[in-house]
Amino acid sequence: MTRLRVVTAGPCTTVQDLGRFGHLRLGVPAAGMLDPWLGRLANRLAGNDDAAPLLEWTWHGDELEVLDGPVRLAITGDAPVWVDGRPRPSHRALTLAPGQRLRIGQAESGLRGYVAVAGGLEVPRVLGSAATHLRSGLGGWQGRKLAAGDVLPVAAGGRLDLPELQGIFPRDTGPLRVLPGPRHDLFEPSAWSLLLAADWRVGLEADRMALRLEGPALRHRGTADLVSEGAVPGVLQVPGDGRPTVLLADGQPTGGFATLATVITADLGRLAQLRPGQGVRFQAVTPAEALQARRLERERWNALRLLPVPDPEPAWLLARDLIGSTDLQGD
Amino acid sequence: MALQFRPVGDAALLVEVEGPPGITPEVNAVVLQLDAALLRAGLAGVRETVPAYRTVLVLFDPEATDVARLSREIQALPLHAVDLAPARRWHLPVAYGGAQGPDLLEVARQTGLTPAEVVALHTAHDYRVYLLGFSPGFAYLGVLPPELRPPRRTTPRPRVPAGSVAIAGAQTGIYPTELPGGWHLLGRTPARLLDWQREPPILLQPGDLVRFQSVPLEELAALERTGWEPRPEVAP
Repeated sequence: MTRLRVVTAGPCTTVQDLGRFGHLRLGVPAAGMLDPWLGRLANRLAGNDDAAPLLEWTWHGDELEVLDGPVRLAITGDAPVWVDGRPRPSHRALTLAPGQRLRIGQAESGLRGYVAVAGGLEVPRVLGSAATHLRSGLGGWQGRKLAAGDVLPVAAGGRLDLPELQGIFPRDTGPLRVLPGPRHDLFEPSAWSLLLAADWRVGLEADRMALRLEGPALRHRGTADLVSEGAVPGVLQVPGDGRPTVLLADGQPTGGFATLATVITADLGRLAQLRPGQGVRFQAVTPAEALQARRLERERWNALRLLPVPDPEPAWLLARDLIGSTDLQGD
Repeated sequence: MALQFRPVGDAALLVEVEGPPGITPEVNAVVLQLDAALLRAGLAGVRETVPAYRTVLVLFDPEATDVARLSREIQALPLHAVDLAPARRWHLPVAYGGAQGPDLLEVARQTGLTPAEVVALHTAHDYRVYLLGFSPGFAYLGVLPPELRPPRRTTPRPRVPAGSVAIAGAQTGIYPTELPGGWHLLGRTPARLLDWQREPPILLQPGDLVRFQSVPLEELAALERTGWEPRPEVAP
């Protein structure tokens, strides 16, 4: 069986799929790929179903060694990639032989990227999903982030006979789009206009559950606390100190803070790519515009064409014993 | 009972049951009826529902339905036709104080009670399971008697052990796994709230009743050693 050995682990790499749905009522968040289009792209480049279990890295990728290969891998995310020390582009699928090493450096833009492997990673499904929920230690690879020395089995059935492919998924730019509510009536009227007018900055407290925004305080009319109610990724919760937090896919399914606004579903991937310290603005849209944005994302996905790389590096050049040295490494 | 509808972004709708403010079993019972009716109705585009104290969150596919249509359909659901399963009552042993309940003395100080009085009050009532949330299998129970309602700890703990029985405000709860937490820890129960190898994995369901019983530390240890599983009785 083909396996991947983690030589060095990034700060937060987890096994994810499209998420664990239908169990919010038990307190189980969906988790799953935080930037699903980018994760799906990695799976598609690797010749997989969109939902195949893959690795999501955060801020900095991992170094992986192929055991018992060969294996076809695809990397997405804006970060430098090396195979046995030789630079390779991201957003590519390539085939590695046993003993070869893939290394992914620090993100140059965005915060997260993916490594898909043909056939998908072989991990147990919990409640029907391979997604890792870190806080409860659920699913994925032993319910935790990867650590050096882990050896991940690759599921059988991956295709190795596909050409070297590349593909880019076009993204929206500009402010994150929001709809008001569900509890905007608990705020001073100025809070909504302040949310839309202010320059926000992502705080250092940012993980798979939520990110904190730094900016002006958003004032409530009265209390900030509610009895707990259901919440979804994208809700902008404002506790009593007026500092908003936006929930992501690992966020708790219920919360007790007043929610001023909700990021539209089409922008959740972009939201999860914000880096600590990065500036961000918000723009109000109508429900019809939110629906249109969602349709546009799917049309882009349906229109996505993976292209053979025009001049792929010959496979023999990548063979480990011919390259030998790894002195080109460094970042 | 009247319902209020609040869109949550473009793919969810919060349905609020109107009634007296705060946490009441009457409003929560309507929430559970509404949730059961929603599950049974299988409305087009509805993906998942999340019942809570006073609300049901409805997640939907915005390309299959919309807020106006969903609100109409939910308003028309026949709640009186829903038979909920009879409530179950659980008797859960708890070793109070000591290393199992490191906040017992502080709670006693804050509430002006003795530690024995805190334990007596905490074990004197059936608590209703209002919802599961926060983390897999975490049950929010309530409500605490008015004399026993300390605010949350100002500094949450990064790690609270599984089985810890805790209180905050009018709520009490049990940590199903090791989690960060800002509630006051009164004791520990050997009951396993969450076990993915068990069917069903999650012990408590909304609408259940829980009665805590004070047991000595040796009994807690013995129950933990033998892998004891609580059995519910049907509440009258």
